[in-house]
Amino acid sequence: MHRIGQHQLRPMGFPGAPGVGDIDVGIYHRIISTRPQNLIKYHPMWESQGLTSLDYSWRRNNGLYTGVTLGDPGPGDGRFAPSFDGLTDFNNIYSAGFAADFNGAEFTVELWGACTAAMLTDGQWRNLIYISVDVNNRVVLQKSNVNNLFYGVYVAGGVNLNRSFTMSDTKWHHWAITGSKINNQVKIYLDGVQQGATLVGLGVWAGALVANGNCIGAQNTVPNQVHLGWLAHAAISDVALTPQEITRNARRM
Amino acid sequence: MWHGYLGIEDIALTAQQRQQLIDWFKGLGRPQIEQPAHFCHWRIRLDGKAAIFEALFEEANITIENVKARLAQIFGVDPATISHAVVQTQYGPTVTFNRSGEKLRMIQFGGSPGGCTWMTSGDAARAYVKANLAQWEAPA
Repeated sequence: MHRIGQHQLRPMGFPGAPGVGDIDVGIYHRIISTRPQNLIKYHPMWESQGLTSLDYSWRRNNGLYTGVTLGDPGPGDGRFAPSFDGLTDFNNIYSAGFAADFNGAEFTVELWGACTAAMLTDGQWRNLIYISVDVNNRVVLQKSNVNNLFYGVYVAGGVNLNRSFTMSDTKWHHWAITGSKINNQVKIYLDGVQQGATLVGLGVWAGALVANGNCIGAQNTVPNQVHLGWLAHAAISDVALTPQEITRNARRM
Repeated sequence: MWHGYLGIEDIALTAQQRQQLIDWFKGLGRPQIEQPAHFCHWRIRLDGKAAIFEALFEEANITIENVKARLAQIFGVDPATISHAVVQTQYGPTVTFNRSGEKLRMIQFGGSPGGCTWMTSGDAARAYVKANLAQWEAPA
């Protein structure tokens, strides 16, 4: 059980953020303390009511819930998480501020997610998170239309780099994708473990994020390819976190 | 109040009529926003001619007679001149509204309000989308 120290007070103006003495603030604390200056978006999604998905990064670009059911149990952190119905639900995290902050050449996208048994074998594409300019410039963590088969995808300038991996249970897992044009590397992680070899040969990211194509739990705001399960603690940084940092953030406790 | 999923399909509405009807459906559901799932929201079919709505609906708002009254208002006709037929499908009761030909189809996913839960309604709606996937999802 992790307890944060007296010097690590909750961020100002954020009701619901774990504070001193709260039980198990591990996930929140690790994300918020991992290169905080590079953390440009962080949605714990532990709200119990309302349409606003608070952004706990220093950038404060809130998201907007559509249709989700708030208040379900989270990934073992004693907090809530929203469920997504696989039909009409998403969290629209686009904002002009986020579009200005996001760096498609240097990034980390990570989140916690659990899938229903139906999602794992329903033969449909479903997205945990989708960050995009257009089809030729996007960062995606998704389930494919093949049973239990997931993808981490990075497309820049039309160059598609992706890695598939399997996951076949309904437990909470940590998902991440990091990319660095400078280092010519894209890495996909599940539960802090890199999936397959490092992807190389990155294209050139171009364009600004599009207003209707940056969602947690769906491909877009239509919504298409909606997640069927639970998602929490979605965080985006403007730097590729190291494998050690990803492994640390993937710890539950 | 009933929390569930409704589907509508434009059979032969004009674009203006369709938009008026969609705007009306968007206004249904619980106005309070404590729980996003209760607030009326929707997804549109790829061709723009069908939609699925989810909300905490007032049952009286989604009766056949009430939808018929709204259609009559849109058409500028007497509601008595609009007929309907109900067919039970595997996704729930499907109502086809007719005024000089079929105009609109409505599905109460999972069954009539009071007769199904939010989960069973959602299961029916998900099964419907899966059975018509090419119409609702663009290729990945």
